[in-house]
Amino acid sequence: MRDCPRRTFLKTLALGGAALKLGPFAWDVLAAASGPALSIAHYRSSPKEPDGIAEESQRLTREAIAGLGGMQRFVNRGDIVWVKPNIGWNRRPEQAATTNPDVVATIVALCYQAGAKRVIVSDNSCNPAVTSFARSGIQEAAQKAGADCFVMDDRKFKSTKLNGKVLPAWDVYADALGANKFINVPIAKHHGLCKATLGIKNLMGVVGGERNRFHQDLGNTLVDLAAFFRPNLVVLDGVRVLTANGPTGGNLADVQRRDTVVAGVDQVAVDSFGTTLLGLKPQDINYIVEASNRKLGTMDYESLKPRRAEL
Amino acid sequence: MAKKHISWPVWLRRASQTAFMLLFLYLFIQAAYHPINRLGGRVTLFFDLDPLAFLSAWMASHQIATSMLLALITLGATIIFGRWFCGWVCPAGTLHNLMTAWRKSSAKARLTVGGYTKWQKSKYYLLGGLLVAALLGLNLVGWFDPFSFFYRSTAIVLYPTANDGIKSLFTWIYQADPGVGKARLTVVTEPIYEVLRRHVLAASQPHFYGTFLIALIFFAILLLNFYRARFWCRYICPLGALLGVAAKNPIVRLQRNDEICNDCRLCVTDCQGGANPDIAEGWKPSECFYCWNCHESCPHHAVTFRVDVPGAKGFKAPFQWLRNFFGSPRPMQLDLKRRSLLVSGAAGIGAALLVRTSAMGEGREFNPALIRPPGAVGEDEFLAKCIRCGECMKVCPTNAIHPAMTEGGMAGLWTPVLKMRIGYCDYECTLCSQACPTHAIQKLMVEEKQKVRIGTAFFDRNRCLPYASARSCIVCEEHCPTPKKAIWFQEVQVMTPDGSFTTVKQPRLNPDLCIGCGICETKCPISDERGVRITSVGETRNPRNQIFLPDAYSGYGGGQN
Repeated sequence: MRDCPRRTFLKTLALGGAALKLGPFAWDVLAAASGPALSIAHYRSSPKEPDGIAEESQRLTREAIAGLGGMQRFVNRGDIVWVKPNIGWNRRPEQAATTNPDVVATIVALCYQAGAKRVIVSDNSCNPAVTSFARSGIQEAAQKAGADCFVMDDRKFKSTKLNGKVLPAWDVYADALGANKFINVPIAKHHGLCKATLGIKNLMGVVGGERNRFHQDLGNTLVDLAAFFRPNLVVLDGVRVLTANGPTGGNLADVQRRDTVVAGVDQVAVDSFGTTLLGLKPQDINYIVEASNRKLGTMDYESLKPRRAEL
Repeated sequence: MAKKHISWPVWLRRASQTAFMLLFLYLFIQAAYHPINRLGGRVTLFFDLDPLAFLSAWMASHQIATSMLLALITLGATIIFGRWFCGWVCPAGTLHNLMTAWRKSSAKARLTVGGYTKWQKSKYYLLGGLLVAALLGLNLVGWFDPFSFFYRSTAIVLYPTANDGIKSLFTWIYQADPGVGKARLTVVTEPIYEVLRRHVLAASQPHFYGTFLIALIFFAILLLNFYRARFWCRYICPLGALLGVAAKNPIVRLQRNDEICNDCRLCVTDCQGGANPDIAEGWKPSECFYCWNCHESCPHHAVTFRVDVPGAKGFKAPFQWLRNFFGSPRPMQLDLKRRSLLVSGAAGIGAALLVRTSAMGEGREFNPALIRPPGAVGEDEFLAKCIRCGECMKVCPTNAIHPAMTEGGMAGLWTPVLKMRIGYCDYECTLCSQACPTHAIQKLMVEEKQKVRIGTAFFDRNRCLPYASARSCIVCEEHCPTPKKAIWFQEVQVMTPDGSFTTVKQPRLNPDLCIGCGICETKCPISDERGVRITSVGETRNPRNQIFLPDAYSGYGGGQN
């Protein structure tokens, strides 16, 4: 409790209490609340492709999660863990439209080390799922690390009460709700409509239905999801970020190295820090502002005294 | 009736038919996305073996797809050994065989079902008409080619329905979750479904336009097997006709032992091809599938096959065999009427001329809905090569490719068109060009394909939400896959119904960058008539179906990147 002043502690308690009423992973949010809330790992150099960047991604991920107290803080023996990277697009890892496969594989390995029974990696892709899972490199990397990584089974989207502001109910992937733990693993990217796609936007991949209607009110729809899901852990991939023509990208000139991985239990704080990787401010992103207004977390990530590791 | 002893040639034939049917189905399943951007095998194998597809595409387009040279093996083997292909290999034939054998009826009835009729010559006239038309550039072989027929029916009708049926069954169990206590049925069914889902079922349920017509024709043809044994193979199949012409005088011949035969005609009852096994010196090699049923049904085994090789009884010298191929003895001739041949040829010429003078003919009219897959050659050459098999429709991972109804005129029936409301052309995918057996869709590398324009997007400002309803949306821009997005937007202040102002992002198109992939149309939230739609104009393959000056690439001061 060294870094956890009383006010923050009470805040997290209240937050956990609210989560207890709402989200499926809420109990674990409470349990994991005791400890640092945000951890940022950064590489001073930018090692080149492909081996250098693989090693870098693995080390950054380990370091960021270690900064929070290690994976055992979030994953218990026998847990079924749902890992949700961004596998939205039929793009190669270096195009930075999908989460770095080495970040995902490292998280899978850490989950197993912490005693997880089963780790499932999946996403509801925008491009054809089979192609996106293959070309993003995530399927191969996750399976090598021992995870079950296969495209979603469309029978398993079940209408679920979200009790949100604009989404009273929506189709949610039942197996994701059936897991004990939920780890959100987004990549930081430019987005035409909402300027940046980060962790909260990444939650769109656990729901089905006509998601293209969310865009008429992205601020509220996304925060409805964030209020419902409340991931146990968010690991933001900022090794390569896509700075323009997102979220699909495709032009390597739009990809820049930030050599950063952020881990946190406060999804609003992780996203708020994530905006800086794209040269933005948290206030620029309507869903971050909305999530902060709804007290889902803090936009002022510095107040959480993030652990920083420079490698 | 005592259990019939079945001799080894029949078992061998059945094994061969089963093996090729399974191979066909295996290759059908493998015609899908495999990592990364590959097919799961030589999915065009049966078309490569098809001399009719080869011949017609060659005659119509004057080009040869080298992979199809395998068809010459089929043709050569048929000239020497006879029409085994139909009885032992062809999966469509196997299906008709099964349907014919399915119906149990009296020997007397089967005498009619199995017997030869003069109408069996109709397939040769059909073949003649098709080839004459092909010579004039109109290739309609795909309507009748047995592999096209079977593949198309499987891809558009059988596979989607089977896929849906299996999925629905498992979904029903999954949702009802029947069981006692902790023993749930899903403990058994879900692992089974998981295996099916990963290896057999479609990645997502396919839905096609025009399923009804294809289903109707498919099942009508299946039912005709009750009227005559293997009706399709005997009366319609132009590939069978081509092989029949080749099999005029094979070295494997039916031999009737006149000393044993008592003219009971039982050999006819199960004859698949209607080859007259019962008539002395009347066997028709062009109609015989070598199914061995005549040998099987003869109580005295008076009918059998022998091979006409040096040393065999009654061997005729090779030159005699060759001479017989051109001037065979009377019963072995096809016996086609010159007048009927002329009529079928004239019909072929007429059809070709009719198509050229139709509205769609010779590029007089460009149908906005005639959007061909990327790599499709110019329309005339495309129609000359496409055999309407449906391989591209099966492999498309987004279910974008559908059998055309009227989009390409009558001559374009069942050729592939993209329907962006169902699916779109994935930016990183070239599966259809890999799967096309006749190269009507040219093989393309991904980088080449990404530069091919199949149409152009247009916004409908009366429907598009930021224009028509003062709502934000821009899903089209989000999904646009070109490295520099072809869809851009302008932030505009618009008035809402209550009189206040709000800022929305209104999408615009940069036609220099748009390749017409159609993901914007697919993903547009206006579910019926989309706010952005693709039309065929601007397609790379057609220099006449264009909008802009040829140098419009620099029109906005930026080229395609």
